[in-house]
Amino acid sequence: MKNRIPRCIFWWITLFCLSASLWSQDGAGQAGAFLRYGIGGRALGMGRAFVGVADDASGVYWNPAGIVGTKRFELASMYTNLYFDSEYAYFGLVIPRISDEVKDKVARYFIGPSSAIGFGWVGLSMADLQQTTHTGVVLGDFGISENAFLAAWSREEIGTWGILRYGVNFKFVTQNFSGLQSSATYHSNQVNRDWSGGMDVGFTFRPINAPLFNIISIRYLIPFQFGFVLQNLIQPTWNLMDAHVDRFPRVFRWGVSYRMIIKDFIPSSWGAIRNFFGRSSILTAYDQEIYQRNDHGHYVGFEGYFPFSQSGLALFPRVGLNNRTEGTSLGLGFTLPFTKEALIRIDYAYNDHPYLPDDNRLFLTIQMGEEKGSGYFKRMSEREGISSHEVRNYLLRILTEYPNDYVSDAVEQLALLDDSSHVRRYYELSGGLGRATWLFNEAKDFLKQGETGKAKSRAEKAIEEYKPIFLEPENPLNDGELLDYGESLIIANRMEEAIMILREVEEPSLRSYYLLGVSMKAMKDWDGAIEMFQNGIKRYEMEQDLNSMVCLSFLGLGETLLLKGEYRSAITTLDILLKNYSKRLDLNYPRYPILEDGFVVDEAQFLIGLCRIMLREFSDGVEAVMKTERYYPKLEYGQFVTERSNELMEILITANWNRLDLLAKQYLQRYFSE
Amino acid sequence: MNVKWTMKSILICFLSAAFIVSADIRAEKNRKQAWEATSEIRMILENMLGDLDPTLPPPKLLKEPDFTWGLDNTVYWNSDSVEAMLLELGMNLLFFEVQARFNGTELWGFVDPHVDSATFVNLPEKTTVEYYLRYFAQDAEGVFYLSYWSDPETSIQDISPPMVWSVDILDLQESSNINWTIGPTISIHVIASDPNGQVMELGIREQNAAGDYYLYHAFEPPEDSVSISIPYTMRSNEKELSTLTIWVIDVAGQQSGEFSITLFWWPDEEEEIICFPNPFNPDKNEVSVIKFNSAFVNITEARIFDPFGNLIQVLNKEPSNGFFEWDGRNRYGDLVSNGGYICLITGQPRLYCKIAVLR
Repeated sequence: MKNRIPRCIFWWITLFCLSASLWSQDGAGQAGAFLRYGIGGRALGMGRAFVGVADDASGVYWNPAGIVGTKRFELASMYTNLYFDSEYAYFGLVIPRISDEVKDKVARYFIGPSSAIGFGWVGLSMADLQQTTHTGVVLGDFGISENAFLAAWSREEIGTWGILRYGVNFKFVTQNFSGLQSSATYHSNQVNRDWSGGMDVGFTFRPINAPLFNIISIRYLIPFQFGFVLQNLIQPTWNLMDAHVDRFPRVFRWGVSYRMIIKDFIPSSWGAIRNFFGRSSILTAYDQEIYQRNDHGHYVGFEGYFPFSQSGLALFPRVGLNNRTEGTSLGLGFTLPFTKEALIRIDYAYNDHPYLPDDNRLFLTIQMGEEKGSGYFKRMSEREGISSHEVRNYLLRILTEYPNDYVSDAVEQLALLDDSSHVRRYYELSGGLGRATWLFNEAKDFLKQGETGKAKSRAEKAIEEYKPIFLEPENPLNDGELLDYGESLIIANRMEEAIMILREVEEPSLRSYYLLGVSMKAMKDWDGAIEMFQNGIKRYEMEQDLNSMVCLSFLGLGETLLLKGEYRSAITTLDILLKNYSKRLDLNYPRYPILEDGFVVDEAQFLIGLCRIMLREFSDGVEAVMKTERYYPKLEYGQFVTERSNELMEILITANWNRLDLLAKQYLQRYFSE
Repeated sequence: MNVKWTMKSILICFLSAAFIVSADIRAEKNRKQAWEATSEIRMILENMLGDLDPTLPPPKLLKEPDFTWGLDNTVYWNSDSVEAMLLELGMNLLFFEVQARFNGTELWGFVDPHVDSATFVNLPEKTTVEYYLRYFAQDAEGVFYLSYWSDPETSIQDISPPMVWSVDILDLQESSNINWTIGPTISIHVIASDPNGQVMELGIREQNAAGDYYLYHAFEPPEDSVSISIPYTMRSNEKELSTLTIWVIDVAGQQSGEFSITLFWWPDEEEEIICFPNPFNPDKNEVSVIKFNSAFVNITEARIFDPFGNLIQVLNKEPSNGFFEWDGRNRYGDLVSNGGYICLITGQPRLYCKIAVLR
């Protein structure tokens, strides 16, 4: 798949770029203007900024690449009176992701679940033109009609880099002057009807993890889509009088759209407001239309999406402006479900013009059939017999449909399939508990690597995800999630909050007691810390838990007792650690408060020595301290003792106990201040 | 006599004689034989001894026109009546002598007795030439007789034709390709003059599909220069092309150059706005004329749009014109494609017309 992508895309892009160099003359009054006006209630309400959107039946017209993004089989129609009774009409249909079942590779390429076809007709009619002679004699009325019949095809390619859609439409165009009478300058036997053919080609691109784009959080990147279309790559021509050939100008148009999910821009602490907006969004689009010479067209449009129910009832206000028609446009649309699998969309567009009468238009679109959106991709990802690559691609499609009900599950599944760098970005999209968990784990990983700053940063982000969930009325966090939340708070050095959260755990465990002990010790609640560490140790004895938390609980208990001045109890506790757990220690288990990790047994040994010194058992104390160097020469406190061994020996020899006492206090202060 | 006085007298006589001789020489110098006399007339003149005094009644020259075209002029008389008169007197008419006098110059010539005319050539232009006639006769005894000079007839030679300086048709609208005005009665203002003579008559010819029609207007009296507005009723039907040709004629019968204009006329009841020709073909240098009611003549701007409201071109005109012209080009100078366009008069939203380009 990866090899096939560059090859076919290469040829499409090459064709596009080569032809893109053959620009046309300026656009005002050029042939084929009726195919550049625009169709569709959405597009016209958005000021015709639609190349980067093009995700409905009007994509047959705007950008054939976009039709594969249509959610359902769609029939669209438009009829409008343009200025001074000119009539403009459009009819189109799109069939997205035509067949899931086709097996043949070639057929699957063209009409499989990654492809779409569309058809359309655009017609312009001007009637009641007065035929006059050179001297103003009125001969009668005549009319002009121009029609285009369009057939479009589109396909999408997806990878972790993003979604690339490409498409082409073929068009058959006709022009007819009807009702002309013979006069001095026109003979009725002259040709008054012409036809020709042409082709447009287009692309859209939605980045996911593409280079350069991956510096942007996926949550704010996914809504971007870029579109490019080259109209009249094959140029139709008018050649009515056989004397002059009028080519439809080539027009390059590019656009970018961004669907802003409103709640993503509201602080998480404003939960009620976030909930109010739900999946509402604002689509912003900008198009630029480029001819060879001056007067490029600029189009800007906005569309709001405000769903009122899961069934499909939604409102779409729109506004747009451009520098072509020198006016603004306003629009409003709404969708109504009318059967289980059908929606009607009615759109209205109003266009203001500084010189011509105001313009009002109505559009009707019917969407039918299975929705080819996130639910469809979810179902496709669960089919039997498909490769993990295909599963990944369907899951990625779900992500690009953000927000929807399947994003979290898709992220979880991608976490199992994809590498960690991308998974981190995917979790940004799902947010909530999944993201919190992933961030918490990442924080712990950073701690193990000694990157305390990054660990703290990740922990803070995890806390942001945990907090709103915790504050929900029924607090859906289970004990394990509460412990992760609490531990995140500990990593972020927010001990008081950590204690509050950890106390919510319903069934205490070694971990909960340990974390509470760490928090209380940091808050200098010695009695509380001692109690928690002791409870944790007891839980071990009941649970036969062999993990490092036991070891650390003993160390924490010993430290707390020492801080409290209960040196004898501290020695007893630290002794147990030395004797029973030195071999079972997980060397990489992080320590709290955030310290560089070390081997806790050398600390226990060291602290035993200091406790004895504090008990004025100076010789035993020095001996215990020296053991740190002897037993753990490569560990932190072993090396610390090595550096001072001469000083300690001198003190022992000279029996300068006052100095030893002072030294011990300095060591303790340094130990607990680091 | 004293010598001094004698010398003075001789000197005076000499000077007088010299003067007379020189006058005679000058007179002789300004007398030119217009044509050589025949041998018979020369023989008769040789046989005449000395000058004759006129005794016979003068003949009569026929009336001359005030202006004669060209540099030649022929004067006429009735020789038969002179012969008849002489016959009654028992005389024979020998010959006529005819003179043309101008600016101190005399042209003369002798004409045989049965000839009724004589032509002077290379006469000066713009100069009044006086013509005189007399005759010589002989009785049966061979005595010669001379008549008195006739009363002069005068004429001015006029070789320069008149000129039409300008022809203006009131309310004429002139577009690039075609002209029109309000009709059917139009007002034609002509300024013309004749450098040497006088303008005598104005001629108008109208050519249309039905044929030619002429109208002449005489200037009474003829004038050196004329400036006149003449009402003219067009013979063509409304909106039918006609060619008007206008010229003047001077008193010498010379015709000026012709001034022609092709136009048609609208009736007073005009449409508010009309575009013609429609469709039009700019490839053939046709232009679309957007003509509107004179009530809106002060409008100076119109805009061409395509059916979608895209601005194609902005048209401007002088306040005095009652129309706009569109050459089928957009704002960038390119010819637009086949199709329909809308011309909207700025500030008048109900004044519009639909224009088709058909190339």
